[in-house]
Amino acid sequence: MKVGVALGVVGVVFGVVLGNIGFGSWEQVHRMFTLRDPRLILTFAGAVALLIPVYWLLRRRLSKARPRTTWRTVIGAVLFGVGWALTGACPSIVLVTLGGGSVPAIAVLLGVVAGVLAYQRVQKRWLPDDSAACDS
Amino acid sequence: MTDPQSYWPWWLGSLGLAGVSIAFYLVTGRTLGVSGSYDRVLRGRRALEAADSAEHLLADPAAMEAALRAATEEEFGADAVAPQVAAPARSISTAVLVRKRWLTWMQHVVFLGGLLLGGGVSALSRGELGLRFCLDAEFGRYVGRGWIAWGVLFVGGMLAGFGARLSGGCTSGNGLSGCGRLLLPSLVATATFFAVGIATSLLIQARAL
Amino acid sequence: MPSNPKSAASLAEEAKMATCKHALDCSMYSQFGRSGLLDIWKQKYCNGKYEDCVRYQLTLIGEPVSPAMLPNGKMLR
Repeated sequence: MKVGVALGVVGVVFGVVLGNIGFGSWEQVHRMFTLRDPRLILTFAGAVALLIPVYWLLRRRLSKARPRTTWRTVIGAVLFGVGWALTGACPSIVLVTLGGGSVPAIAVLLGVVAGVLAYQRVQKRWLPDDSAACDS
Repeated sequence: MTDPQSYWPWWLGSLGLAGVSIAFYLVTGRTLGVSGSYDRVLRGRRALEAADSAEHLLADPAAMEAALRAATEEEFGADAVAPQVAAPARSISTAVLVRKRWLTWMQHVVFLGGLLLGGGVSALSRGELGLRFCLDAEFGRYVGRGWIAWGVLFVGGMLAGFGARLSGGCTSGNGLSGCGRLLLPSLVATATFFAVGIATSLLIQARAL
Repeated sequence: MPSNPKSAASLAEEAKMATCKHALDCSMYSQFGRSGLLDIWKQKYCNGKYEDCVRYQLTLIGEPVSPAMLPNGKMLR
């Protein structure tokens, strides 16, 4: 119960942060991708820079498995990049946009769900994946 | 067009994202990631039920050891366990390699729901909460309204969802957490999706002009 | 039988050498570190024919694996 509540709070804060820095706006994301406005990239880079020392300090408690870079990594990222550029959204952002009242975000969310479900089927039938760490 | 001044300065966003990542770790023992939650939720509650029932075993080392002993006997026969009964096997380690919490289906749902609610709170705080039927003026210029626009959004969403799972994460999983941990596949994935995102957007922009 | 308790670091070192590449993250492998009695599981699966391990098979196809599931597919308790 406590974990559930805490997770919910983290989720809400995450949504607020994403929304308030502009990741929820297609236009802002597009401005980032067309190199007109560095704000969002700086936000992202700054967050990573802050996390590097944190995760280094936590390294003993985090998974020590080192997943391999494979064709999946690259092809998956290519598909993801196209999808993100087209919709301005990713799995986290689409929920933020939808929460703000965007009706078109429903179409994007349905797409994300369809994509995740499609991958489940593909992984099971054709692409069993040995490269990832055993997550569960 | 939204006044960009109503958004936070970039460094506040960085602090926020880093803070959320750390909070997520403190609560779950895992690094932040969203696409994985979609996968778990979409598999349905039943798929994760067995993990729920293991909670009490994991919490009680004595019960866990007893269960393991019983399972060993069942699998390998009484002989495997017998010599140890006379001289009980001394526990050689209580250290545990894997510290992450097993999240229930509902906890994944709550997390994603939190994102949704947070989006609402954010919009409210910027005075933008309300039903909006068009994505954006610029998007409309590129793709038009009507069916094509919805189709593009759906297909784009599908590419993002499928691609995120194929590459092992999305902007939060591979991007924030993976890069923060300096994991090579995450660095490769992040660099790739940013580059492709930029290329795609420049292409869209060029075609529209 | 060694009686000095092993640390998480040395367990991790052992896990890295296991034949099954998922050992480092496997909660069940982690449990097998509790007692010398349980080495027999590691011999058969983790350091042996890991392809027979149901946990491994499920992970390959992306299915969630219960922390209570043994390599033979049965549940603890």
